[in-house]
Amino acid sequence: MNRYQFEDLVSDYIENQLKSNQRKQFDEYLEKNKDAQKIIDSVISNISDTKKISQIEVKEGFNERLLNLIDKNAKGLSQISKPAGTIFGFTPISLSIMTIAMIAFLVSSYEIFSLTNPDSNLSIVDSLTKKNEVESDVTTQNKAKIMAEKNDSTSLNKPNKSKLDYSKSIKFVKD
Amino acid sequence: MSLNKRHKSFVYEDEELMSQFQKGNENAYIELVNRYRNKLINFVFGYLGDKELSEDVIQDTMLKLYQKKHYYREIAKFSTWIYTIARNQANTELRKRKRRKTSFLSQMTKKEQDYDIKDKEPDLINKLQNEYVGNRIHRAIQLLPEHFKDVIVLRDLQQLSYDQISEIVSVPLGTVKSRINRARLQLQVELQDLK
Repeated sequence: MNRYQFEDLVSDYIENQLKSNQRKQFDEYLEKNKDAQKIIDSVISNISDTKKISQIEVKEGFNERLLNLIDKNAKGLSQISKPAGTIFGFTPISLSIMTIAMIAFLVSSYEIFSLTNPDSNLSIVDSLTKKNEVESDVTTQNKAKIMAEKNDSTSLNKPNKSKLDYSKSIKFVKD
Repeated sequence: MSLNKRHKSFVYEDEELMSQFQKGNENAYIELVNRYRNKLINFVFGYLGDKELSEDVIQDTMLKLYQKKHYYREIAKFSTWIYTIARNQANTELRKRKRRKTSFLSQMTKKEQDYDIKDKEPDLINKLQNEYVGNRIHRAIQLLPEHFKDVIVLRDLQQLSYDQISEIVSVPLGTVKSRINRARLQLQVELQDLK
């Protein structure tokens, strides 16, 4: 047994938890090392002194203070108290900052909307009328486009005709 | 004819009291407080080294017991549960103390104190001696690393079993035994001058 093994088994030895062969080895180590025996005696003495330490007690009125604490906590949970000097739960400064931020958001949204849609200054009726006019213009333009394409011989997008027959004009000659 | 019936006083187990408290019986709660307040203050005092602070921690522990009664399940022993709450509260207080970086006068020095004994009664001498030894042991425990401190307090001060300690600190049994062994050896070195 070496020093490390001895130290690992000190508590087990004191509390009588060692197996018989381990105990035998431990006793042999103690006989050879008087310092080791002093350590064992010292640890046993400390454990004994620790158990004798006078127990402290709570101060008088502990239970009353505890019950007051419980009541206080119970009241604190049931009442959500608003701090004084607030408007809808917000302090005046935070409320004014929020109002300014909201107004800025509305203004910037309106500006962005105006930029993307130039007709946005028309009334709804006018804008709907304008929309109908635009749609009818598109329809007319499409019709004209289709007619133009039909008559255009240079256009590649011709309707699919049946395969042309070159058998009469081209003759294949064997070599 | 005299009636000499001896009534056996019925003592409820902690778990039975807790069950009654969960059903709404607040007297059961008071009984549990009375049973554990002194045990827990000694445990927390061993941990923190300050009596006032320890009492505040026990108040918070009992308050938590009141508020979180429905969290308790009879799978674990009640004592294990309440010690765990107290330990967690004490750890929270220790962390606050570290942030505040305050120390207590009682821990600042290991200087020997001179006791002027006016009365030569042997009882008083013994009492003072025991008090001195007790203070030295408490101070030595305060100097231990955190993970050694709680196991040594639970084992040597509170005399709990290894299994209970293992459940409270949530480490395996072997680790608990090893830590207690190391803590005892460190205390032996720290308290060498007492012998």
